[in-house]
Amino acid sequence: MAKSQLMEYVLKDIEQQKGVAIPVHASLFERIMVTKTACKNLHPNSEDEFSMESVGPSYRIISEYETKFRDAMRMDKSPVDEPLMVEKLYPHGYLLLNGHHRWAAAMRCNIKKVPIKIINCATESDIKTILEKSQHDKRATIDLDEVIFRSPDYKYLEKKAFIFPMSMRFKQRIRLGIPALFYKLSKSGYDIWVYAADFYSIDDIQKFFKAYGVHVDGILTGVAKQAQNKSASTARMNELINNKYQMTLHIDNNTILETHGKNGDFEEYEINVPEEEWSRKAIAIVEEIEKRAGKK
Amino acid sequence: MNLIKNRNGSELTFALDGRLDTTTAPQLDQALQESLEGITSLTFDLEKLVYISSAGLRSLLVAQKTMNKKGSMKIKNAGAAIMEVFTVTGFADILTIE
Repeated sequence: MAKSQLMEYVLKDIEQQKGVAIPVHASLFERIMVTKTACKNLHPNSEDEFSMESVGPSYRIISEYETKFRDAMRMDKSPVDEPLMVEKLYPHGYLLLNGHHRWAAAMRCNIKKVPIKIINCATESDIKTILEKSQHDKRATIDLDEVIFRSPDYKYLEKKAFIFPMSMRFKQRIRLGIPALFYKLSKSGYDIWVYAADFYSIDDIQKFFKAYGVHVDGILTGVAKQAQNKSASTARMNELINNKYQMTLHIDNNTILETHGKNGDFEEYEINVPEEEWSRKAIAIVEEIEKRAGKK
Repeated sequence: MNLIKNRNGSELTFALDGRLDTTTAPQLDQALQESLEGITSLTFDLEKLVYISSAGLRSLLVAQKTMNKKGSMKIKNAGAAIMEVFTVTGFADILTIE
C-alpha cells in the first residue's frame, strides 16, 4: 500500500465510521476468547496523530515494522508478537487504541490477522456515572504501575487474587497492604482513583480489586498510549472531576500529598518506613488527616 | 527521556520529551539540582511529554516547593494525557498550568 493510498484508506475509513460506529464494552468472555482479528476489522482512531492529515503516519516506523515482520515470516515465526490494543465497536469491528503503525505494516505485508487485546476504556459517560453515583467529595489517587503492582518476585506481596484459570488473565501481583489501605480510604469516605500508563480494562481492574474485597471507583489507564489529541472529551472529563472533589490525597511510594481544590495549598506527609510497614504508615497518615479534619 | 534546557538570565525552561516516570525522574531531579542556582522563573514545556507517573509528579512537586521560596514555576503545553493525570491526581490545583 503506497503512502498516499494508506492515508486515503485511513481517511475514508474514518469517514465511513463517523456517526455509525460507537465504542462499547466487550464481555469478559469476548475479551478472553478474542485474541486475533483480521486487519480489515480494525479501524484507525480519528483522534490519533496517525489519522490526521496534518501529522499522519511515520512511514519510517511503518517500514521498520514491515522489515521486522517480513524477517519473522521468513523464519516461520509469528510476525506481530505484541497485541494491538483495541476497543470494541458497535455494530462491528474494533477501534485501534494503539498499534496503528504495526497495523499499517501488517497490511503492507499482507498479514491477514493480527493479535489484539480488547480493552474496555472508561468513557466520558462512565466517568459521569461514577461521579454522579458517588456521595463523596474527597478522593484518593494512586499510580497502579508504580505504587500498587509489584513483580511476582517482590518480597512483600498480597496473596494472589485468583486461582487458575482466572489467574492466567489477571497475572498482576499487588503490594502488601494495598487492600487494607483501600479499605481504610473507603471507610473514611474517599473515592479511590487509580491511573496507569498502560491499558487495562476498567472492569478487569474492578474485578481484580473486588477479589481482595475492596472497591476502586475511578480508573484512568492507557494514558501513555492513548490518542494525544482527545482534548475535547478530556477537557469535559477534567471539568467533571474538578467540580466534584474538594479534597485529594495523592498517594505515592514516599509521600501522601493532601490538596484542597483550587487554593493551591498542599500538605505533604512522608511515608518513610521499611516496605513491610508501608501500608500501616499510610493508614496512620490517613487517620491523622481525618482527625485533623474532624477538629475543624 | 530527552531533557532540553534553555536558560535566559534568571529564567530557565526545561522541555521534556518522552516519559517522566520512575526510571527517568532521577534524570530530571539531577538536572534541577544542578541548574536552579540563580533562577527565579522555572518553566516546564511538556508538549512532547507522553506520560507522567507518580514519580514524575513528585519531581514536579519538589521543583514547585523549591520555586515557591525563590520565585515562580509554571507548566506549559501539557497535552490531553498529561492534563488527565494532573486533574485526576489533584496536581492541577497546585501547579500553575498555562
